Amino acid sequence: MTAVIDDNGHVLTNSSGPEGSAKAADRAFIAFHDVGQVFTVAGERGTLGRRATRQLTALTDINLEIPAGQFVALVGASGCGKTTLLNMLAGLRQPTSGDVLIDGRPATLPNLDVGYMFARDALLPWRSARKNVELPLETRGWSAHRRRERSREMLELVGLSGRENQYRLQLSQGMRQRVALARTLAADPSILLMDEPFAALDARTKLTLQAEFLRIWEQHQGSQQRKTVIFVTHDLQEAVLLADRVVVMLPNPGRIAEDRVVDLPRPRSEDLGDVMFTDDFKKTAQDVFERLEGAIQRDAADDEGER
Amino acid sequence: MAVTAVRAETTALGAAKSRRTRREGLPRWAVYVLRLAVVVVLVGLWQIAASRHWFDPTTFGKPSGIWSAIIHYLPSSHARGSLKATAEAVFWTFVIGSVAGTLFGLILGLTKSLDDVLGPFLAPINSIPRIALAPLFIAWFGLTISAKIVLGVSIVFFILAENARSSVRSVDPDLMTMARVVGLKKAALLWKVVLPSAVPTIFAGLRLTFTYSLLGVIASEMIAAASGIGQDIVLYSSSYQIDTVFAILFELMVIAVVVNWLFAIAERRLLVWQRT
Repeated sequence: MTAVIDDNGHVLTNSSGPEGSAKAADRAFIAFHDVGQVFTVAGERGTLGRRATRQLTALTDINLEIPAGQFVALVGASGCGKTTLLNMLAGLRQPTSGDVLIDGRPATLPNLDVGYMFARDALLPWRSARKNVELPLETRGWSAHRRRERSREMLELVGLSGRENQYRLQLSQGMRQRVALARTLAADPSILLMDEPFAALDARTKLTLQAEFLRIWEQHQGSQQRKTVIFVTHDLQEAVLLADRVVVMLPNPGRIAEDRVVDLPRPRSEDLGDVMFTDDFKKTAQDVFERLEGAIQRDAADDEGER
Repeated sequence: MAVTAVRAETTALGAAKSRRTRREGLPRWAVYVLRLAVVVVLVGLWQIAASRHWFDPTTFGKPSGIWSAIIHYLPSSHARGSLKATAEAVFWTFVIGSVAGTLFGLILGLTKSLDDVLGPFLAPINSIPRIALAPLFIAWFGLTISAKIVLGVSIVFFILAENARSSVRSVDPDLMTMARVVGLKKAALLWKVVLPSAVPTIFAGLRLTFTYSLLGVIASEMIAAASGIGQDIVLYSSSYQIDTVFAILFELMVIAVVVNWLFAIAERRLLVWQRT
């Protein structure tokens, strides 16, 4: 593995394995060290009716270090293990090999420092918007009064004041994701795992929510409450638009192909729509796109060579 | 029309799905008039056919005769006694069957080891035509209310057990993942996620349960009972008082419809969140 150097000559910390991590030891808040993930999946039924199993390598050689407060986007086609990476950070899944560390300790479930937002809202349909936002606070032992205050505050933050008592079915898709965002942020976790959170939304709603999410995140930048974000998306534009750093992944088996810093100025949230039309953005997006294409082509060429 | 289209687009998928879309068709009042017309025509034809002796009214009944049976027989003390006997049995069948069945199903659905052992028995037992057990229960319990209740429960219990079992197993995996990440564990997971998401399915099962409780009790009574609506049906059929039989069937239909309607109201009250 070689160190990846970006356009401005910055050496990125990952990809170089353990030596690289030593340099950034105190900065690496989240670390994947030589992580591999192998799934055992059910195969065809054999002649005796016994189900054969086969091994599927979902992730291999994952080395990634993320300093506290960084906004990292993971991009790649479906099946390249982006979500598996998040699930390991959330402690939902243990790595088959290697270590997944948060602040030096292996990631376990539940980690009250982690907020996880999904592509599907995962709201409890029998709870009102307010009660959904309160759910993570209940497990953290907040009093009813504090929960209520916090949930009102969070719903206001995502622009849903007045919708507190509505149920999931009464809310539009965009509003549901807002509630999910409020729930994810409610307990003030320092790590946000976002799994294509805006993928199911129409373009307009998506941009609005991206801007709001970014506003909330940027507001804490540089403070004690800064949040580290791992944002999974298959949308390159979204990755470049929001993140400090884009990590490109390839499938079969899932691995990291490229890692690039995005040094567009912050805060971006105020005119996110305009950022998309700046030359810097276009240049960066094009570069990431070309790197992704290059990686895919090299990969295809390698496969040819092996045959 | 354009307005509905736009609204359907902007409302979320789930909401749009459950929102009743207004189909092109007859205006509401015309539908009601036509429904009434269907009843009037059919009953009228029946009445004419019976009075002109196109068929034998002592075997096939006659609407005017049925009407007089409804007015004169149903309020009689015998009919009320039968209704009371049947209603009591249905009530206990429903209560015992639904509580026991649901609890058993929930326990199976939630404990894998127990489900592995007992689960496979459910389907075979449930496939026995339960009516065939009635003579057995009557032999065991005699002409008592217990015989009726046991037959009813033997039907209802398994329906609800299977229903409750699958309801807790089919909890949306996304919700489970979310709940685990949020930090919910065993008891809290059960109370806050698993059971609430099973409620709609369980409720749908309960509505069916009433119908099957009634079925089980009536069937048991028809085979042998000291009193009850089922006994009356057999009695009046065999003595060719067909109009009275029809009057009793009408009574049963009204009861079933009213109870179902009460269930619908309760369901709507309880499951407010399912309304869009």
